[in-house]
Amino acid sequence: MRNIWTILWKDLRLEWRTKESLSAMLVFGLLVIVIFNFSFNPSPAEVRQFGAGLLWIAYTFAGVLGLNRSFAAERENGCLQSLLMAPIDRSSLYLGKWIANLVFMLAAEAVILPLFLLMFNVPIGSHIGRLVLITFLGTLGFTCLGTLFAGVSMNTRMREVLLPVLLFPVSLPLLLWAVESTGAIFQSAFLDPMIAHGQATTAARASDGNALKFLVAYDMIFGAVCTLVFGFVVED
Amino acid sequence: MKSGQLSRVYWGALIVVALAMLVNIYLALAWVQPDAKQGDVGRIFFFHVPGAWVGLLSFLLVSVASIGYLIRRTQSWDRVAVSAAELGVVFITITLITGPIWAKVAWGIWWTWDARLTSTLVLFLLFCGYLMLRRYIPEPSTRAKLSAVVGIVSAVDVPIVFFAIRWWRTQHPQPVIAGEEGSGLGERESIAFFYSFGVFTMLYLVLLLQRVHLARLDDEVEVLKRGRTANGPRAAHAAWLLPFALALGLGVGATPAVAQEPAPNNGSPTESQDVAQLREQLETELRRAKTEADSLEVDRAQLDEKNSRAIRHMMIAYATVWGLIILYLISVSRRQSKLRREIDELSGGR
Amino acid sequence: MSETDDATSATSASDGWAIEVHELRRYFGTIEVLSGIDLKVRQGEFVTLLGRNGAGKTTLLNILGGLLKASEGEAWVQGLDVRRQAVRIRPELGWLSHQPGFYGDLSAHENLVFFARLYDLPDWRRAVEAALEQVGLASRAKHRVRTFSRGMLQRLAIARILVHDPPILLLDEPHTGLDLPAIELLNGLLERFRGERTILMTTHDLAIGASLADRIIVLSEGRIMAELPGSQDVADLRRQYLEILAHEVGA
Repeated sequence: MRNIWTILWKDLRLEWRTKESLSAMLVFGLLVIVIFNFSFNPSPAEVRQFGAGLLWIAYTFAGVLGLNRSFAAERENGCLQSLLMAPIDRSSLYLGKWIANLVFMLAAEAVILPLFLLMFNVPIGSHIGRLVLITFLGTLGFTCLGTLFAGVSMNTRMREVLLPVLLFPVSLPLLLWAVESTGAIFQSAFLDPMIAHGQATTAARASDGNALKFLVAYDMIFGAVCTLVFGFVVED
Repeated sequence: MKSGQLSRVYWGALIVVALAMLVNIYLALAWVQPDAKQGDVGRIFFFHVPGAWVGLLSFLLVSVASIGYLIRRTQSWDRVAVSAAELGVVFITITLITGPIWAKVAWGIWWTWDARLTSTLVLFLLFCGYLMLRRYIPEPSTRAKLSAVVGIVSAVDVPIVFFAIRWWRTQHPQPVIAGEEGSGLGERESIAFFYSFGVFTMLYLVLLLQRVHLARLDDEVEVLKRGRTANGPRAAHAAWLLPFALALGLGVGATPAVAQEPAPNNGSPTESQDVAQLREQLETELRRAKTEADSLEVDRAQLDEKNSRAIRHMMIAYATVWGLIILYLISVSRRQSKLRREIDELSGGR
Repeated sequence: MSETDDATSATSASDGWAIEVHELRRYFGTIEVLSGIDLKVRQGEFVTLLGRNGAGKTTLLNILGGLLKASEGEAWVQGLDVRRQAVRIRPELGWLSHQPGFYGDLSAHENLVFFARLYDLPDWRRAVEAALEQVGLASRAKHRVRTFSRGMLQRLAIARILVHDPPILLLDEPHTGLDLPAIELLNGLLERFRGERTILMTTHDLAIGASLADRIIVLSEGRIMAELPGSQDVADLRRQYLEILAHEVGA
């Protein structure tokens, strides 16, 4: 437990010094949103329909940039070896790294999300709580797999290319559920005022099915699996 | 045994499979009556569906071999994993190519984001990622270890992916296609069908053997390049797979004989679960296609026109299937002879 | 210091060997890198491993440190099995290689604090200060490691060992790339550690091997080819070593 915190502290400190991945993630995430706007020039109805997908594209593309950097410091001049020589459990190394990546990605999302809501005039209102929850759960699972695969691709040539190629197909269920429930939230956000004015009925609202439950289950399954197999990635 | 040579048993098996394949082609193209509802294009299924089954089998093998490698740490497990993954890509490609050719005739569209199609595509992408990862790691034991980790994560993930996509499709019901209860396979159809399952499985295992052998040659070259004698953990010769291959092939092929008598549609309890599942899949597929054809009220001339188009499509599909398999065989044997030459050069130079 | 000593005597009381290796084999893929190593190192002994690149020296050290798993055979460090008790072995080990292994954007002090906390030391604050003082880096403690020269980095790596003060040192070509003052400092330190700690060092520098080691072991193609006594004439050692290597090429 203490070791997890020590590793997390180290990663946060390093990032705080350089701000390399955070700034890259932020700028890239915003670029995705801007490009979306130019390519589709969406109306509110279209935002209601496609906004959730866009938001998650911005999150995950930005996230991959950050994840690609997450083992950069360890690779440099043999840090990983000194780290592995220290008496720490491999799972606490993984957990420390995971939480660090989670914090970075959430930090980037904390800027991307409000700007998105603002720029596309999403009347989010009281739904913000649920939106934040979904964002957290989705990011949790994404960084969980992302940290493992960043460790895997760390040892390869072409790691920047390889990480998304490995990560996206595997995290597909997660993205599916996250987009689905975010979409349901946007639907209600846009429709609630209309329902109040009698312009639409509650039947028009989409439900997110069981997506939330599935997200939690997915996070738990892969949290366990990745923690268990990470040892194989760094040791031989 | 000289590991540079494939054993005679292997060549025997290859000939048996080739003959069995000819029989399969005859059964599928001539012996089975054209499907009442969809005509000749339905014959694609005798290649399309077994291809998908073999793709799933590959995935299972990769998972098992990955776990095996992490436990035993012997190179032979890794060879099985890489071979299965590569073959998986070949056979899923077959499925992904023949599927749209059929769909164009039956549904009028090349592609739809239906649950099964999407899942197959994702499986294909997973395999591609796996093989790409392997390409970028030069050191053999690191490569084996890291790809085994990815294999295990995918093993956990693939069922979830399939489930998620199915769930997602029910969220977005499909406009075009709907299933209908009650229709089944004709007697000849189901015999030919299970026969082609058996033959494809055998073909797959024989190809797997060949590919594993290629991987062995690869390792040998590695050893020679490093100028070391390999007294590595003795890798069991993959020939032990052969009887297994034949048994499994025959088993799958023989299933309808057992299943046929009492109730052709329900499947007998002796059927393995995979087969039952596939049979179910196949039945819905056929049902779906038949309904589609049913709903088209066409006169005879139109039907003939449609049929000849269907035959053209089907021929293309066949050409693709065999072209792909033969191309793959050629590529494997070319790689093999290249490695053999390299081995000769390296061992001659010492 | 006294704490680790107690721990040492408790765990290794069984047979008194600091390092014990039995029929150790390791494959990378199908390639055999270690082909049956048998080695016993006494408490407080200084053993130097010689051999050309790829002879398996680093692999052996990595297995003892628990970074690599042995394919076959067994190894014990302080009486602990490297396969099963790696987490308990690591506090007993100090690791120094030609790669410093520090985070460039953290200061020297922060780097040492990070590692000290991983080693779970009771009084890490004082230990870090003392170690920095000992290697003469106290004045640069607040500077980022990225600005350090190669020699300073190696001094910092030595300080990392001093912080947790282990009874066994694994040194993987620690002299590579050092300037003369840094080599002097390192040798002075090794001289001081002699007899006090068990040291297993790989090197290509015969002079250092000859002057410091109690015993010199020559590895070739994953096997122990010869054992030579340490503390002998450098020219003598060079002649013997070349003879062994020539024999290896001829075979």
